[in-house]
Amino acid sequence: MVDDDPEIRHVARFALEKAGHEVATAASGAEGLERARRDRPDAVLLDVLLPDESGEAVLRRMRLDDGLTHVPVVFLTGNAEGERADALRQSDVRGIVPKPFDPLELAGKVEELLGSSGAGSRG
Amino acid sequence: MEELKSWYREQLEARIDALEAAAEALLVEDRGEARGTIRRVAHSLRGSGGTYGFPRITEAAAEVEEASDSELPVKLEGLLDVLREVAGRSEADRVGLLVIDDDDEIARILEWHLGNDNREIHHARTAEEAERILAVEEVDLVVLDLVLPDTDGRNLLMRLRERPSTAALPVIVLTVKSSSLAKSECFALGADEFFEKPFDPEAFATAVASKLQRYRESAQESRQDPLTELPNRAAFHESFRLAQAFARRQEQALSIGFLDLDRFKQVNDAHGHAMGDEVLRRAATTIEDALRGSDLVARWGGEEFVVLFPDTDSEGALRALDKARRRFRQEQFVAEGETFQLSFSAGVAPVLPEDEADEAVARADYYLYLAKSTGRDRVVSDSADVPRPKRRVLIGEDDDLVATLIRHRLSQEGLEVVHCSDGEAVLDEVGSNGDGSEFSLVILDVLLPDMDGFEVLNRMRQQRETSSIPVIVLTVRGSEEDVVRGLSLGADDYMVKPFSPTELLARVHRLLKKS
Repeated sequence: MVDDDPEIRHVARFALEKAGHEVATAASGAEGLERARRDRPDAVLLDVLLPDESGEAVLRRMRLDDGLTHVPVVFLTGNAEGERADALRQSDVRGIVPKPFDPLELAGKVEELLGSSGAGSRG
Repeated sequence: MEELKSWYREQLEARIDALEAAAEALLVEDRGEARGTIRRVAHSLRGSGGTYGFPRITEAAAEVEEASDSELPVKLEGLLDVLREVAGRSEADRVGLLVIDDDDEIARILEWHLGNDNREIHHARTAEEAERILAVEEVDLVVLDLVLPDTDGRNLLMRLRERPSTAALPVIVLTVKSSSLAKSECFALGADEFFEKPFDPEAFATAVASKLQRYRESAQESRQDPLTELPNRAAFHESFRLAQAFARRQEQALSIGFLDLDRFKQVNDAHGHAMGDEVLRRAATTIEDALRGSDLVARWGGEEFVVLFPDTDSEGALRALDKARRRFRQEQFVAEGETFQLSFSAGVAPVLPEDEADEAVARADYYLYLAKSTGRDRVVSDSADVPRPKRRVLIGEDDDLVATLIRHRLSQEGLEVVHCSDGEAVLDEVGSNGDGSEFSLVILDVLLPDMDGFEVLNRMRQQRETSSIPVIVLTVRGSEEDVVRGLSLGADDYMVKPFSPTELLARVHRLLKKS
């Protein structure tokens, strides 16, 4: 879960852990990449607007990293409409979760976007 | 979800601080940087507010994020209001309790049972300490032990009841003394409840809650700000309606001033809230003393005050408020042996007949913003610094009601209006000054007794002195021919009755700008 906003990290962690997932968080693109390389997550939730680089850039770098080529990614964005959002949808992601979101529905939404290949079990 | 919400509320404190600091910086320092900070924080709140179940935060934050630079300050205030409310920082929601008991254990038990997010519990071990706290803190309820190291609690109770600021404050006596005499004595002295130790904490907490509620309800009904003893916001709203109705009936101007003490937060930070309160009280007195008895000064909230100036245009209000400003900056404040002076900034605007109080305040607040952003310690109004000579408008209209409506609306715009009911009188009036140039505009009904509007217009255009005065002709619906005839005779514009005052104003302003 990569988002520079501590409140969003907090609520996402809460919602996903409640659904039985293990959650690691990062506050920037660089930190997110580093954690992803180390933790090898089953999926990555990625904010589009990060302080150091864009979510798209983080995604590109992930894809260049041997271990992260196929990790499913879901974007989080405050602007789920417009050209950029369309471009996001066409990129190599499973989907978009718009902000604000309902914490009670976050886990279900993410699981749905990840589909069968989305690892992690409901607890 | 409730835990999440209360966690989020706590996080909001830091966001509010950041936005408040940026709002200050927006007025003076690097505005680009301040705007960047504000939009960044707003963007973040836009995403998190709704997520935590506060959609109003998301809405208000979106408005800030998308605001133009000039709208930014106003939108930011809106967002801050929402944030303060959600964070429970709004003054109305905060409750102060004062426990006066030399037994620390009792204080701890009470803190446990009475404390919650919105309640701040102060603890005094002596009557003297209690007095100190009461002077400084907002206290809404007192828990009083009768046995205190420095005095009998009943003496303190008596003193509280004698002082106007604490006379209505709920006092719950909690004591080991169990003679029935003490109990009836306490009630006679004005105690609201009497509990004996050992006590049932739950029953006690219930009593506290009900007393607090009653006290707050009565405080809301009250119309006076207890600190400055000025009318409060609710009282202002009421006075506003009355003043507005009066001004309308008397066709008088009414102006409003909105003012804010400069750098007040620094006083609180440097010298404490007691000094801050002292500053507010002296500001209230100074401003009131400097203005006329008929001007109404009220405390709007925080360090903001609002003033109504009956029968005064905004130039007059500006002069009056500027006098108050000069007086206030002469005031000397002393804290810890250090002397300092303060100033305020203010905005002045006219009150329009259809204004709600908050609209009028918002208009004055805009000029206050200009005053702040151009260096503070000044009063800014909608009128130019140099008073313009009054422009005169002549109305030729035999329907008195229509004439009165027009006259009223135009005089609010600072125009002088002369009314004639027939055509001859109009011609006399425009020609009376020899050169006729003293009228900036003529509004002419085409249907007038004796000489109709067309004839008046025709003659006006043939006289050199009156040929260039702009004329608006008034016709009734369905008489397009009249419009054509009027325009061909040299009318500059026309209006079809019935017309809206806004339309009239727009046309008048357009023609006056040309002339």
